[in-house]
Amino acid sequence: MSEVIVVTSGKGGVGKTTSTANIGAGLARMNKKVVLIDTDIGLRNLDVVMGLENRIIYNLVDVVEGNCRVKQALIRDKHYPGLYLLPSAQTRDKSAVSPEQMIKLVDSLTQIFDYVVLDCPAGIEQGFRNATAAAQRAIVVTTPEVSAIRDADRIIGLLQAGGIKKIDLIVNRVRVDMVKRGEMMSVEDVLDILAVNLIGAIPDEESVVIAANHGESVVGSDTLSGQAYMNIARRITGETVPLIDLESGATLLHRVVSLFRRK
Amino acid sequence: MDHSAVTLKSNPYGLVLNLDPVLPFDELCAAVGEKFRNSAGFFKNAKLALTFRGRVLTHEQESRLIEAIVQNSKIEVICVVDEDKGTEEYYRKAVTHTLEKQETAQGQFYRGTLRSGQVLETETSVVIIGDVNPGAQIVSKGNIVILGCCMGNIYAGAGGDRSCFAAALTMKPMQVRIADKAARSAISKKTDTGEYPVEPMIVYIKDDHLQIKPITNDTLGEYLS
Repeated sequence: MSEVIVVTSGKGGVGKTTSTANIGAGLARMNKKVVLIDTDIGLRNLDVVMGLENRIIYNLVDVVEGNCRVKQALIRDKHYPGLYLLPSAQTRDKSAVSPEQMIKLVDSLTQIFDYVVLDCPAGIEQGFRNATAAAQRAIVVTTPEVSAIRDADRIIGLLQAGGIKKIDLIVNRVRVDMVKRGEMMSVEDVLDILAVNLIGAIPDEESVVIAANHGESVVGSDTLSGQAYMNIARRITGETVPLIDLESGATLLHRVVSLFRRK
Repeated sequence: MDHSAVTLKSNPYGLVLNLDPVLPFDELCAAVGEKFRNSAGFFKNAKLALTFRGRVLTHEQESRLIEAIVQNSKIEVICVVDEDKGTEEYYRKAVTHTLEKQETAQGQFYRGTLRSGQVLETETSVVIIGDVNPGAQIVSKGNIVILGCCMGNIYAGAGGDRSCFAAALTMKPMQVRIADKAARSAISKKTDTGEYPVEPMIVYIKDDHLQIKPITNDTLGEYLS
């Protein structure tokens, strides 16, 4: 039984695309067949973050308009044989695709894949409606900043009104030192306001940006953020994984490793 | 008077009135009135749908008959169903739909969190069981009680009633309005850490000013006086 998940946030720049790429890699590491769809027509990014930009021949709009078959547009990931990308078009805009067409496309992909993950554009206009039309569940990404939380709240309301019942939250770019100083909201406080299920919190680490710039995922590396994304992927499949304590590091093993590094 | 001028038949959601086809209308009207006067105790204050049968009526005649019924009993006529569609199913739908509409119009309780961009407007007082998040709005012609954290915009007494109040377990609203008075929260330079302790507060108008006060015996006494 395959699941269709939309990754969305309302606000731009909070880490939807990075999260999509890493969740996809995490699911693929668990030997799931996964397709990531970039629905941000006109401002495509997911291919860049995954390092697959130079392999694009056909895109989402080509598939929808019938210029090619779905399989021709799918790009296999460099590392994970079970992970595919359906890239977005760069030369068109959001109106090139309708919600009905997205539903039809996603339906055909659920025959082949265990997970269909849709990377939603920022905003609540046509692109958002396209991305959410076909989804059964949603992952809302926010950062512990007031503006991002406002937008996430609005998005959750819209998703609920759209009939999506399963809504999970990722709190991205948490800075433990700032939370300690009382200069940033803690994950708990964000949850208090948004009142949805937390599926993971990602610490603010350089490694995430560096990996994305190299077209790689942090999942699989020994960083805290890599582990946090891997745990999110495991939770998506229904496993119960305890939350990482962002302050003290991931596990005992992790602490021992970092202890040796310091010397 | 001829008692067979009108006979009543009922189903669970309404009444069918069999009318005499030839009797002059005024006499018929009187007969209907008498019939319902006699059976007022039986129907009590039932809410039901009506069908007229046996006679073609104009709109005016229909409303005169309804008036005769209402004046002679405590029945609330919810709608009149045309004879040709007068199945029980149709009755059921018409009655339950109208009752549902009345219930939602009263809108006394709202369950769940009101999120940014959502607006709740009510003609009566409203109790929110959940939070009112920043960017959400409640407009009530009566009072507003929030069993949760109020961080959005609230407007009580929207019809102009200055005696209305608003209360919340945690009162951190963007703006509060009661009737023609408005207040906004102070702009704080401190980082919003999202920690809002539970401190029940009430907002009301006193001496031409909005009062925002903790709910204690003293403030409640002041509000009620």
